[in-house]
Amino acid sequence: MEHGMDQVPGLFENLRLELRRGCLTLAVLAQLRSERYGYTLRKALEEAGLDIDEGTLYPLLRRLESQGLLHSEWREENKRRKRFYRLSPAGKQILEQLVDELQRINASLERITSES
Amino acid sequence: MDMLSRYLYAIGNNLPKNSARADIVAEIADDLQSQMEARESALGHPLTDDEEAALIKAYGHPRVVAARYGNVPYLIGPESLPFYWYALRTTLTVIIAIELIGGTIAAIATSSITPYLASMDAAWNSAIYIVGIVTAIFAIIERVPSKKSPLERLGISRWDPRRLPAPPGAAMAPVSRFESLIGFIFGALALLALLDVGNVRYWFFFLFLLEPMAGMNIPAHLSAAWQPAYIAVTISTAMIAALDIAAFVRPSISAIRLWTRVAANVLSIIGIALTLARSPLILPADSPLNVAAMYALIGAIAVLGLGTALSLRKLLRHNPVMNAAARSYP
Repeated sequence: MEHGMDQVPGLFENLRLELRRGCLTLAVLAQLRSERYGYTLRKALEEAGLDIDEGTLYPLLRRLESQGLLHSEWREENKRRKRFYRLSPAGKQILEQLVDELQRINASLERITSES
Repeated sequence: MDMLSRYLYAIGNNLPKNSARADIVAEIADDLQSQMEARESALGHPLTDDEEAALIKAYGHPRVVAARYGNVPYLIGPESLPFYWYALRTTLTVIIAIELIGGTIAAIATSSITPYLASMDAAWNSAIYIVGIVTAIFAIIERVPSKKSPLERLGISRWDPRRLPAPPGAAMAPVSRFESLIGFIFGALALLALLDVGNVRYWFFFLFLLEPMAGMNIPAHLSAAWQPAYIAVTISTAMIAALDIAAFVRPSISAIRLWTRVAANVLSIIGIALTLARSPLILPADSPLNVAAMYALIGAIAVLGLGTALSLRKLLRHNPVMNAAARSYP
């Protein structure tokens, strides 16, 4: 069936979110090569052009930590206790593999989309 | 208690029990406070109540925020879901069909309508039990700790492509299960009425015919001329009801069901025509109801004939031979 321009409402948004999901994990890992706490991490990602809402970021950080890819510790800064995250050695290794994989996918997609 | 504390308390209350609640809440608190500070320095004044409420509201409903930290397991996982629906559908149709057929046969055998009505009640109760039991079985299989996937535990991973059934030859769409179930319920009731099980016919005729007639004080009863029509209509009603319940179990037999309807209608038309050829229809023979009965039978033939024509048209449209070319795969 040809739909032309009348696409299903919200379809692009759903596909975009699906596409972004894996990339966000990679971006978070990459940003945490240097230590940050949640709020500054979110700001850094935003400045780099990748908005992520808190509802996604904090559970993601927690999951990555439970998988051993991040270390965290509570420290005081500006008279408030904050949780600082940084990449663990296992996280560094995974990040390198993921970056390689992304570059491979990108190169393939580049070829496929330029062909069509 | 300020708004932020209440919000944090609500999130903490909804967090999974085994999670590091205090830790999660502390982190959310810090994030919200950082956001508030940033907003205050952008606005150049402390946040008003409305501004704080708007900021907290944008963070999300406490249950939604808390749920993101949970690891809620599926009741039935996406892998086993199609098999769950299949098991549910199959069990429901087979059990309901057995119960309704059993009820109808028992009603005829005992000459009482009660077993037929009881079977409908039993079918409804069974449906509720079946949904509960099948769901519980699948949910337990989903949760049993095992190295095997749920599909392996259900034995489904052993399927063999060589044993898949061939696609059906008929191109007609399957009958809706609802349609065939309703068809059977009314068909069986009509059959019970025709066989006069438990005085059903008396109630039917009393309500629809005899009572008004009694009011008019017209003495009347059917003559022996009705016998061919009665036999033909009873047999064809039984045929239609049987095929309706069969189609409820197996909706793909839509073409066979329709052919049976055509055959049953033709049988009824012949029976009614034989009755029409005899007279009188109503005794006493000079009863004014004779003319009414004749028109009623002619009307019945017309309705049956129209139904047959429509069924035949549908059957010819979906003729497998005519459609074979259209259905061939590229």
